Amino acid sequence: MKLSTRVGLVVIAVLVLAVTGAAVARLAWPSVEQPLAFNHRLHIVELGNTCTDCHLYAESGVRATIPNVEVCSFCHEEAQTDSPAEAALLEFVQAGEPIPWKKVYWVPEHVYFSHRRHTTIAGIECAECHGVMEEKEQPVSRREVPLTMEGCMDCHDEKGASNDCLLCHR
Amino acid sequence: MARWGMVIDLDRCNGCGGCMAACHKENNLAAVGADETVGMDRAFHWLKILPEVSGSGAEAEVRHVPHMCVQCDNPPCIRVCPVHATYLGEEGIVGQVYSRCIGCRYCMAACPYNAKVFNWYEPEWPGDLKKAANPDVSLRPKGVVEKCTFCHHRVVRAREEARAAGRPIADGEVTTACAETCPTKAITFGDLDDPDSRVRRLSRSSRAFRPHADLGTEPKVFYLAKKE
Repeated sequence: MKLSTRVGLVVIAVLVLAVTGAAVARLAWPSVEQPLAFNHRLHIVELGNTCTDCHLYAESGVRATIPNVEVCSFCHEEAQTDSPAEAALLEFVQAGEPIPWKKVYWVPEHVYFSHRRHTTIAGIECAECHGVMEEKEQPVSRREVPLTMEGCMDCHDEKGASNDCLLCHR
Repeated sequence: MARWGMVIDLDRCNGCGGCMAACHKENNLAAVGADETVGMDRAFHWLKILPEVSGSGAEAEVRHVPHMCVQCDNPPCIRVCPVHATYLGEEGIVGQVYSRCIGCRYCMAACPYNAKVFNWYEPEWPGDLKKAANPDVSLRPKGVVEKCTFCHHRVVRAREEARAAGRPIADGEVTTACAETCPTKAITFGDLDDPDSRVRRLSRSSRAFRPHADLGTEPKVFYLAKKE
């Protein structure tokens, strides 16, 4: 076989692998459509909020929360801008109805994951798993990191954390 | 790295059963009905108190022996598990991974201490009982084997707090639910490798013995024999 044919075959193989890999990744973590066009960049960079201002318990509890109307209405009791996204939010706030956010990050029932253990005790930044939200103008629609056992264990190895089964499977 | 162990003073145990109740509550053990416990010998405890009667009539003497998984350093259960659901952790606690267990019960047959129990039925949590469950411990489904974990979640919590404060875990800082509850302080939990720990000192007492030590299982639960 000629060298150029070989190189060609390798290139094709790599392309096929990349395309199928991307397709499988999409299947495994499909993107979701959120009910509101929430702009993280605006709230963090321009308005100076921190993650835990809205995502309560991300540093102190096992589970972090996804803010809903009770939290939003601290600031958004009345319209502050003429943005259509805020108008949509105010409809929820005024009706007292919860926003049907779609959960993007979750672990199966047999996995124990504590936010406090990762944020407060290990000092890991939120962005390591959730991406740099300062840059995101669209609501979260897909996972930034794959939440697989392999992914967890690789990170534990990297950071010198224990991989004892009972830590996560209790 | 710690090597967790326990010493139970049989002179102090009066068989009140507080440890059993504490263990049930702490570890979300499902209650099974009288028909199963009495009729089918399916009593469901991680820790039970075995009565030991010597003599008879007016001379009879009853001793109480709290009995749980002895956390062997050479556990027979892990050798027979076909799916690696039970394993020896780095700090000496024998773990049981419920999501991996297939319920074959080989480990129960292999355990010379009869320390493991099997979920024959889907555990029932009537009313709001489920909400009162300890969030640090999972609710096990039907068809898996479970056992005492030396309150592993408490060890983890203590280590977290110690690490957050930048200090090592102090002796006595972490204790199991049974030891915490015991009104006569018969149970001592701690690090067997810590030269200054109470559990290490007691485990080297002349009264100390390990159950079935002749089997070579190297248990980390020690008993202190009755003083004559």
